[in-house]
Amino acid sequence: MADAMFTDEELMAYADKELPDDRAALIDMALLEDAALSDRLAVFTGSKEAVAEAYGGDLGDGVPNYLVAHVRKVQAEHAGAGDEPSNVQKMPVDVPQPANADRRPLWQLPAAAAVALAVGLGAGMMIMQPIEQAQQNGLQVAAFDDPEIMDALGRMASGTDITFESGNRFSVISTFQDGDGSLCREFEYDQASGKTVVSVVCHEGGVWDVQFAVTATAADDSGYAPASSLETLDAYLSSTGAQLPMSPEAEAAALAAIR
Amino acid sequence: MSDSFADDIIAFLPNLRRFALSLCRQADLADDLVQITVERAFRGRDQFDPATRLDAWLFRILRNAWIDMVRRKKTQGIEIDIDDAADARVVDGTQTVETSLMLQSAKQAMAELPDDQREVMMLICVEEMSYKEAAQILDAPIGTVMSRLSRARITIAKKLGINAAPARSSDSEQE
Repeated sequence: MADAMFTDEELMAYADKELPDDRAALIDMALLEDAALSDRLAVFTGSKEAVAEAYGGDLGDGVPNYLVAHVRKVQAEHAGAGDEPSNVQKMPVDVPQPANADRRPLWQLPAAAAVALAVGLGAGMMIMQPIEQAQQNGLQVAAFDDPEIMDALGRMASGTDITFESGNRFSVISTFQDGDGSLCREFEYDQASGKTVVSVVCHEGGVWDVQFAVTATAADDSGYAPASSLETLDAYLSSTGAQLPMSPEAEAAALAAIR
Repeated sequence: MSDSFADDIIAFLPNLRRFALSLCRQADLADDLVQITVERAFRGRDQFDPATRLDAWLFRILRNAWIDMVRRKKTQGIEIDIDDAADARVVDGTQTVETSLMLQSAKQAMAELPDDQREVMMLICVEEMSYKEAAQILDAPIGTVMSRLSRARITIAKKLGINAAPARSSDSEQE
């Protein structure tokens, strides 16, 4: 019986015109003599038609003017930069999943009351040393000489976190290469005091060199970095040619290589 | 770059909104997702390959933004109450009762699907993506997409009373 010759997926692909021609021709022939096969096919054609029709009318609602206005506003913000080559990395067709798919946590959180910024830009703010400049500016960026942090940076996978005995929480957001090919990691350090540091460090000369650090008092009780600090980070990453986050496998290999 | 990029995005706003609504099932969140998608699209516009479908690329961005939202919710307690979903728009009262009931039933059946099946239904049956395009949007193998899609359509057909249940499943289950 022809009915049993074809799987559900094949019949569905036939209904969707996605089945290779040779296999589709066999179904063409089988449908002529097998009513049961026609019934099975109707499951896939009928369900698609019903759902397409049910949602088809939604497009007729139009979209709110503010959404169109939002596109124009974003377009205007990007105007002028359009002729410049972007330093955003070209995404390959089959892009590997980043080790932490949640590395762009930009969505609606309360705006920070105050965000203080310290950017090293490779100027030598070694993680082994106190960030004197930052502290002179009143920033308690982080206890970056803490061996626990250095150990965590060298071994923790992106998307994981650890809470130290001090109550401070350390979470690795992503691992990537900067424009110069250095291995970099983005992390958040949520201090028990309520301060949160979002930082990017790159591994150079055997040490983690602070490239970017922004500290903020959380705008609510969450203890997490508020959105404004993350927007600053996003701008920083764009400006430095940061590549796409590494896949878990690439990240593990890169971390093993520097041990 | 051509200014048509913005025009093209505006042309797809209804599709983006519809897909967003199918994911989060709240109109206000759906609009937030669309706005985030627009911002990310402009920021990464160099990543878009003009040889491919812009809507497929935008759907991928939107879905990733939704995943970010869900994960944020998980770690930060941000409320995304999908149970209070205001999914079904009011069906036009001028339509025949039969048609309205069918449309409502189809939407209800969609709402009751698992999330991973509903999104693949939206992409392929509503937004007319190919299996390959859906697989790229969802970061899933084509076999997985077909498996979810097949199960979703069998479920929906049963609920809508469309013919008999299929007799045979594939061995290509990849989940």
